[in-house]
Amino acid sequence: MRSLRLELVKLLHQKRTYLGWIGLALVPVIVIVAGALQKPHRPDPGDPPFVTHVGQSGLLVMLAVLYALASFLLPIVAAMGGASSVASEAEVGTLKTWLTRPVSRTGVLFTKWLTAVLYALAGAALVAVVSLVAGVAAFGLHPLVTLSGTTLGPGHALALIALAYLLVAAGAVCSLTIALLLSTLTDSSLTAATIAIAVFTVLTVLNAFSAFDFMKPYTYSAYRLAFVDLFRSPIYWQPIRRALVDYGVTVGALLLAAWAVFGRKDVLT
Amino acid sequence: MGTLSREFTKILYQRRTYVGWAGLLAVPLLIVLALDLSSSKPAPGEGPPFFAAIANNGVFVPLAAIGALSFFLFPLVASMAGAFPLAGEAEQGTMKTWMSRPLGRGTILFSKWGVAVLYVVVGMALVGLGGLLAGWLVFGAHPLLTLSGTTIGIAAGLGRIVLANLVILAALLCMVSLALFVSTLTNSSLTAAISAMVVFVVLTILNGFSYFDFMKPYTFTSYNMAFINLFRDPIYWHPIRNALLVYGATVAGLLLVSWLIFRRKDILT
Repeated sequence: MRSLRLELVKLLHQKRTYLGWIGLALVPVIVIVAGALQKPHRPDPGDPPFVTHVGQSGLLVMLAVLYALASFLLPIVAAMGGASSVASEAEVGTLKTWLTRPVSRTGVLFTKWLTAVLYALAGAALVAVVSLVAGVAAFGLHPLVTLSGTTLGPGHALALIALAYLLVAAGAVCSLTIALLLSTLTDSSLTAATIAIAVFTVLTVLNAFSAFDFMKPYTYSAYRLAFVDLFRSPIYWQPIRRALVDYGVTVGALLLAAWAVFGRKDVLT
Repeated sequence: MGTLSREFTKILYQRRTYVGWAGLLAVPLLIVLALDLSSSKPAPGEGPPFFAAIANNGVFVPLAAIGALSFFLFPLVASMAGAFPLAGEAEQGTMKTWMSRPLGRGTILFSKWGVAVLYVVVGMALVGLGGLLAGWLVFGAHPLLTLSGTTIGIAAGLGRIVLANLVILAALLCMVSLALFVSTLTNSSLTAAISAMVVFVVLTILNGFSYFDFMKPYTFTSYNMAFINLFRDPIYWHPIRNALLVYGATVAGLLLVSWLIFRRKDILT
């Protein structure tokens, strides 16, 4: 626990921690300003779900923002968190010092992973709170109409939205763990983060081609919008369960690989 | 020129350089593979621009590839390229050594910018040549059908593809300069690259809302599809000219600010 607290202190003393959070928090602000002032226009069938009707309820702001977050920003910020964990200590030359203390390498690795997970979760929570407060202030708290046409009370809807945020954050943990694995393989945090983001993007592109449908059930990127199924009535649990199994296996395998690499790594800096 | 060639030697000794180039080259090859393997051909208008035309004409592969890449992967690689040369030296502690040589700070800054641009140019050339070769082998080369319905010869078509690459290169110069600018403010290459990407994503989201249309003429992200107009007959130059003006102003502005900051920066490592 003590090493986790130390990691968190380190995290909070870095400029980029706040840059990531600010970037995330800008999204709900943009969506609300645009939704409040935009001239009403006919919904376009190509629009992502929830985005068109943002002005109807503050809760829809949370979902529209989550949509943008799941496809782009959260994987980027999570990859940054995962990549800076091991590699940036190697860059600054403090990894050696760190390892001279009576801590096990396993402990160091998992503490760093946990710190990065907390960073991504805090980012998601920040976005949720900003979009809830600002969205309700701008558009009011109204019942949510599900994709199946039924209506959910605000309390029930909020609980489902919280679940959806957790699900998206779990998807981001996959990107983060890739970045962590890469940051044990290289001494450059930039390389680790870029490759992790590129892997996510390339997998997303591959998911769009029917020729690569065979790999869809196994790639974590294919489930990035699985949270939408929470807003059917009754809730369509099957894809969500699959997403969670896939995330679990991906994160477990990557962590194991990272542990195997870092456990026997020559730490030169 | 000597400074630039030394910078280029440096990046050729970094693993990340080749990872980035290989990742870019993989995209046109995967597109060709996906279209060759899939049983159903994409419907016209589906996927990125020029995508549906590939199956009948391999010459469209490099075009579809740069169209698909310019949404996300090209900016990502460009921001990595722009962030590393300056901040990477600060991270490794070689900046001070570099500064002790009889070179102006302006020369150093611009050779760093130049090497990042060279990196991006090589990446784009790989995408273009690799895509063209793979497309030609798999789908054959035929005269190109323009968006206006006329047909142009292969040589003229290739000329326009080169022009399209130059327009996209100009857009990527904005990302390179943005990352370079942030890297004069921080000593971490990861922070510089991620900040540039966050700016890119936030601007793209802003461009998606009609309320923010007033800033569209001034943001470099809103022109990423301008190159399409090269494939009308006659070429519709107006949006391309606008795009190049905005790119030029953005790059010049960012370089000027970077130079003002770097000129008087305290170099501590």
